[in-house]
Amino acid sequence: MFKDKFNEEMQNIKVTAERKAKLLDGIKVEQERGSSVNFKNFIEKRWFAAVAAVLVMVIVSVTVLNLPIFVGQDDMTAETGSENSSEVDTDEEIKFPTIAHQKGIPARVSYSQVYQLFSAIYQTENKKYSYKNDTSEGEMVWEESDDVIADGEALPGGMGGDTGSVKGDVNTTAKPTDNVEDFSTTNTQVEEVDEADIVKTDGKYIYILNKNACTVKIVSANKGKIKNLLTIFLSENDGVNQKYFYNAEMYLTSGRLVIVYEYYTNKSYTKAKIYDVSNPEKSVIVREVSQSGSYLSSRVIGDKLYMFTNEYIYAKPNENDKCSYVPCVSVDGDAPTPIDDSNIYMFDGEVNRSYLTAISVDTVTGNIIDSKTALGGGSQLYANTKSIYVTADRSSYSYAAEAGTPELLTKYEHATRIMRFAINSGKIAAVSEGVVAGSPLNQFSMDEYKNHFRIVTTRYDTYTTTNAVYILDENLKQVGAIENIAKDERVYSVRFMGDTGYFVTFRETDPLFAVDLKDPKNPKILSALKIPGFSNYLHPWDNGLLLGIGQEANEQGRIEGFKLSMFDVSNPENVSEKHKKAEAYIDTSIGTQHKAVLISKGKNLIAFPVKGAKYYVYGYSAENGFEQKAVLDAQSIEGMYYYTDCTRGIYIGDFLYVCNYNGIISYSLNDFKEVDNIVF
Amino acid sequence: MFIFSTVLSAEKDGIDSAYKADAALAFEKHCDTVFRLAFIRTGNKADADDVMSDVFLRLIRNIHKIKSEEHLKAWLIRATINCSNSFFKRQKRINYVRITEADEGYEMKENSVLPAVLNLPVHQKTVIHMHYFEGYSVEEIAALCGVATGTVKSRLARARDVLKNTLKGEIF
Repeated sequence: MFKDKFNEEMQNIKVTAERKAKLLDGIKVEQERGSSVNFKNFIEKRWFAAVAAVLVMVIVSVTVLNLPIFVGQDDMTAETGSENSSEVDTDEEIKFPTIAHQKGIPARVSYSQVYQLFSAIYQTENKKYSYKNDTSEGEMVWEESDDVIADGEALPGGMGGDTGSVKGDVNTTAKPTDNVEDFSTTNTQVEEVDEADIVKTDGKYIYILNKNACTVKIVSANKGKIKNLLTIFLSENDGVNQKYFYNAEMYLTSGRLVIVYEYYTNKSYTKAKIYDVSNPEKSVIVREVSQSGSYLSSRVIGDKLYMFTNEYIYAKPNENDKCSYVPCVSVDGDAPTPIDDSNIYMFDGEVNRSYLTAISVDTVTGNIIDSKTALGGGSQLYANTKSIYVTADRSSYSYAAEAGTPELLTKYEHATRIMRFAINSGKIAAVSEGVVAGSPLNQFSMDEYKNHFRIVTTRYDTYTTTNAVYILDENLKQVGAIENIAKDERVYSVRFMGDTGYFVTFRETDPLFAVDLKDPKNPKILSALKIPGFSNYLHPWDNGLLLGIGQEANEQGRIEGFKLSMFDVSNPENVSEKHKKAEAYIDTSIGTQHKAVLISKGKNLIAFPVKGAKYYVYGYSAENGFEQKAVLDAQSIEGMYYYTDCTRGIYIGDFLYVCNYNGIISYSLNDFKEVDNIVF
Repeated sequence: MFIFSTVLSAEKDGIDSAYKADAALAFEKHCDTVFRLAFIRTGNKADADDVMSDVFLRLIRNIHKIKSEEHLKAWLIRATINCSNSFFKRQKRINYVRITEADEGYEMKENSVLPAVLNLPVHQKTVIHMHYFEGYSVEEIAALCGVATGTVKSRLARARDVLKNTLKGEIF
């Protein structure tokens, strides 16, 4: 079909993340300047003279002749405007709430307080952008949160301890049952904490999510033989809402298939659809749970789903409609119910127009167990079996709650707020809060080990960047730190392995830092290995070996292709690059997509998709280093493509299945000969 | 599906809604939409990037005119069309040499349909993109482009004819 192919190819046309970040910064700066016209740009236009002449005429006609020329002017022409927003004079002061907030403890906020807060912010920002104002009355006193931990089960002190330590070899951790062969699972960060992905398997069946068509294909895999069993059509695929279907991912847990996705009707919602797949050929829907906001991330721990969304309150709050200013939850398409009064929190005394909302769902019954929401939104998420940490960039659009005035946090400092939620079989408790300088790269920048939270951040100052490691205690108070590491470089990847943390920064050469975190109060850098290139992803391979996947670069820092590195970290004080394999012509973004990599020590596999419909399989041995086992090519089969961002390799028993929504090809793991294929 | 004509008329009537757009958020949400349309119209990523930054600069200056989320998207699409038009005009004035043809910036696959679409005239490929990728109906495209529905239909039909010839065997 032309449409499918065209959509597929257009999906790949997008703004790169780096460009996006750069432009976003520019937009924010430009926005700060208000809507004043960039006069220099304006006079560069050739028709400036013509416009000026017209303007003079217009002014004359409006002032002298009093002609209603501006009525019905069409804004859609979107030409460079010379509109200067004039201040609307209002004598009435906006009543911005005074907020009492005890540092370190998330404060609880009631409906009426939230309403007044959002009304005040709405008024403030509208005044700033010269909108009509209507004022609301009312002083408010913020409740001190004395019973933050409403749920006794989730205790603040009960941090994960060692349970959430870093995962070793992910793909061998799956426990084969009686007649199910050894199979691979999604490459996740923390043991026992599942992360969503687009391909899942239980050793017998393979589930493949097609984000474009909003379908899930279920196929059976029997010794390489593939059989198409069933297609689940998600109801959003009605031809109308289809294009609003975002960020779909899924989980497979104890006979349940959970599909999480974001959709947009009049505002963004995130939905979890739970299917009973204990008999995959007769899959039935158990329940669908949706919450307002755009999808941030999710985790499955045990059989409980934790789903996080960000919601931005655009509109003026309506006192009678709580869903206009409080995040809402809905089950099976029922009328949305706002999150309970007692579950709204404010972290770190900072508020802006957004919310971070977390709900937990029992995937067996489909019931919502708990829900919590926090003012201010979130960006990165780290979870282990006892705690979930969410970071949020300290935004220059946030208000300092203590100030009691509609003042923004004008002094911009690059900092990250950390929110800690304790979790226990579905119960979520807002426990503690903290702030560190800089911002983390991704979920691997964070870790919890022996009751201490560790985070690696990069701080962007005006002319330079610096990096830092912070160690915080269970109340997120800083106990130790190393700052000002690797000036002018930024963090490319991080991995914590027990007492030692490894991270890579890059400008021209790749320093792999090993940091001793045994004593949380006195962290120290053990070694810094400088080699060309950098690693985007670090993975513990074996005892004393750390696998790095990234890019090769020359001495000047120019990137020259793809690189696999094996670091010898058996002695953290003397880390060395034991083996490396550089391939100039491999173009792949898997370094930033850890879920797309198949790594198995047991099967000796390092496999990943590469642009150009290829799937590369490597092996590693301590003697010979990396060896290329196979380059699998899907192009021989008509209608079959591998796309890097939607292709996953999995193995079941002695067979490798390379899957995407176009189809599956199975190969024997012994000789990498094709066994079977299916094109959807 | 929202109807653009009502959005547009609401704007003309000056209905003051509670909605307030934020350029940064709008960028995060819609930058890919704008970029893709600009890419389709200009044919390469570098020019598309130029057009995109132009569009969002215009958005910052006109942010107070945006009345709703739907209006925002419609406005951005319209602005992308306008900005790429001024880009074409600018291009006519400047004599320039394209440095390399190979630097197309997008991944070429076998059986790729994108080159065929990019070879169409600007009006036709815009309509193809908005209909097949963005999923707009003929009426909505007409409202967005400011032309009659009949024009949109004929552009679609002509584009399909050409594509059927160049991409033999594709089903539309």
